[in-house]
Amino acid sequence: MLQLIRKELLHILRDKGLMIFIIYAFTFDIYLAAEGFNLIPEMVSISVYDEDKSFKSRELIEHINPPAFKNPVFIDGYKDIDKLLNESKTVIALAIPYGFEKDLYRLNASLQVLVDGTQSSTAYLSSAYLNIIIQKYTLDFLKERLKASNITGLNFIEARSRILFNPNANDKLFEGINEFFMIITLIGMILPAAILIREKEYGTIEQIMISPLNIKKLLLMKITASTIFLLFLIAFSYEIILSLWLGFDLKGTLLEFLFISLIYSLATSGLAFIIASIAKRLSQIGLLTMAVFAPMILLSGGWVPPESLPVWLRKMTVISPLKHYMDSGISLLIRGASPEQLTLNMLKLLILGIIFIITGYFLYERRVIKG
Amino acid sequence: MIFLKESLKRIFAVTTKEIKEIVRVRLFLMLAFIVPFIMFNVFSFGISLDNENMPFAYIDHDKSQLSANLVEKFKNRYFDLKYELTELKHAEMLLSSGKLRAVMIIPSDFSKNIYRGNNAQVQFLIDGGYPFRAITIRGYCESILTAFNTEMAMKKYKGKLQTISPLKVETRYFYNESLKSSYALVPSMIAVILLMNPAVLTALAISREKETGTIYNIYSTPIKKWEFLTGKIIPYLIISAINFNILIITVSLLFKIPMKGNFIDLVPGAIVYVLINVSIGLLVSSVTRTMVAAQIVTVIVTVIPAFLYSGLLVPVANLEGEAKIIARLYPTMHFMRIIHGVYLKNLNMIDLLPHILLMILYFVILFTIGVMVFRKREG
Repeated sequence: MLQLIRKELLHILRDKGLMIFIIYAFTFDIYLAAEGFNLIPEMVSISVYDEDKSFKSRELIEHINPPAFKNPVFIDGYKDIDKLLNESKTVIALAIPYGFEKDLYRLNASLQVLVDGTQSSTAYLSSAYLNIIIQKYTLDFLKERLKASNITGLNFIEARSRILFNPNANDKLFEGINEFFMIITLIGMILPAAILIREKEYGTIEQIMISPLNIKKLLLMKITASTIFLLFLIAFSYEIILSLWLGFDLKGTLLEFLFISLIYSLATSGLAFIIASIAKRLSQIGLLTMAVFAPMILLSGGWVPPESLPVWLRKMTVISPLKHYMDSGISLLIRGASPEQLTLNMLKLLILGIIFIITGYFLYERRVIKG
Repeated sequence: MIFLKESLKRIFAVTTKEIKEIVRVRLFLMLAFIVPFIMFNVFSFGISLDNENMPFAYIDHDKSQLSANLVEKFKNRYFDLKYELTELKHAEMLLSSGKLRAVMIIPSDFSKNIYRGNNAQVQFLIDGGYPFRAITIRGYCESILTAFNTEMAMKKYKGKLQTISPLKVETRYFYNESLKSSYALVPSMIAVILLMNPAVLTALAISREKETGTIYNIYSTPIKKWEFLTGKIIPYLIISAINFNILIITVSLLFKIPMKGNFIDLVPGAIVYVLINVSIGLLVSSVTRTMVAAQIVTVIVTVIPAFLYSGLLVPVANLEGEAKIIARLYPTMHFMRIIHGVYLKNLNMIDLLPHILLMILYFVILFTIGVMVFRKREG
């Protein structure tokens, strides 16, 4: 039996193309995603047209600064605003009209904020940032004025917001871990599928079928080999890439995470069986995996909040193994939840895994071994 | 003239052979159309959803009319007001297991402070498991509070102050007046899908011949390198053209997103863009030896730039340093500008000409490299 596992592991290691991809995926790809993806707009490019050129207008502009915004680019004239927005050279523009200072003292001033709506992912948050800056500025101005005219007692409710588990809302941490889950899922399906289909493509499966070897045992060993290899990769990436290279402060232990991943690998192996029973060649696995993977991402909750999905899709998330895996993984690694809190999720994952692997096995048996 | 005719004949022969090969493997043919369609729909659908119905709870130590009024404000489409909690520990546990996204804590001296003319405080605890969501939720919470403050002050200072908002901000979203994220994002997905799909499919074109050994037949024919590559490109160009039209129809029928400009203005850009991506696949295909390797390398060189440097997630105007240069080097940004130009800005072909010309240059360079790299002999 150990011989069989050894054979499969050797097969994996010898496939150069696959190995390069796997190594790239578990190292640079995760690093690039962590460093590159940042959904929270920072250093937004902004242009300012200050027609008033007064003390008050300059005071307001001084509040626009990094890290939310780049230092503003000054322009003259609305025409330039149009041009910059048209060529997508600026995301947001602020126009301070002539007479702004005078109007402000009359409590009747106005400003124009022009946003490039084609950059919709950034447009909303950047204009929200700018609005907060303007609101704060207005509030300060109002307080100053009220003091001058001796009206007191203008009081407010202040928000004390605290973001738990990741106080600076560091997107790098999340994007890195999110990509880590994606890669585990992708390789978790491709690797066993490739192992399962290789014998079919090379024709060695017929050889095995006439040999005294039990086919069930062989398949079990194939899955075991790929799971061992996957867990090894996860451990490597967890320690070397996430902890060491990216310097993430991960909560939970590696052992706990490997345990969750082991249960998850039941589900991915099951899906691999399904993919391998449909695909005829090694080269078709890539496209087929993408077809399975895309809906899984949507239902995972890692990318789109599951609460925002339409009701019927929200119900479907129950059958998405990636959702339970991500829920548990994020809770463990980022939120630092205790293992007991994850029990229910793990149970769901286990049940799903068993269902997937049984379905996958029978499909594979019917289409490949008997067909 | 006769020279050209011969050339065309040879290109045509390669093309027919390639088409036959594609059509024969029915699964491949199906996947060539189904995979981009699924990916487009799933990603477009997901990307256009806003953060809504966030599970939310509160702890009210004050239990006053004012605090109840404040809680009432959180009954909107952004929050799903789950329950009232009494203990902080319980709230923290629900947050750490991901059952809640945010909790509001109203302290016991909340209304007392307000009636005495002091500032009062409310605390929001937000789940940081998903930072983007956390920032957005914080934005929602703080804007709800600001609105509540303004309302309160208006009531209190009726008559004493002319206005509580001396500064009006008029925000205008250009090209996408209602700021529907789907209007900008869904058409952008066309550029992403049209980058990955043609490249991945074409990656198989030459590596398949290498793997099956039929490449030796090509080595021994009088066909020129550029003719062979051109012949290979054409079938994938046809597949991509069909896919492009399917996606355009999907955008208008399924997602109901209007196109401000003309479809015709989109066509030249799309053709050049697909030509580029097909050439990327071809280039990869001629340097790799197996089909699997070809697909893998193509995915690596296309996926990251498609999402990172295209302006899909981060506006190119925000990029700095090398990223700024890289974004301009990749063709996706230019096609994204063309798509936004036609879908949202009502630009015509003349306005978009610089982008198209740059992409043509890009294609010429890529194809030339392809011809140079492809070897018509062993070794």
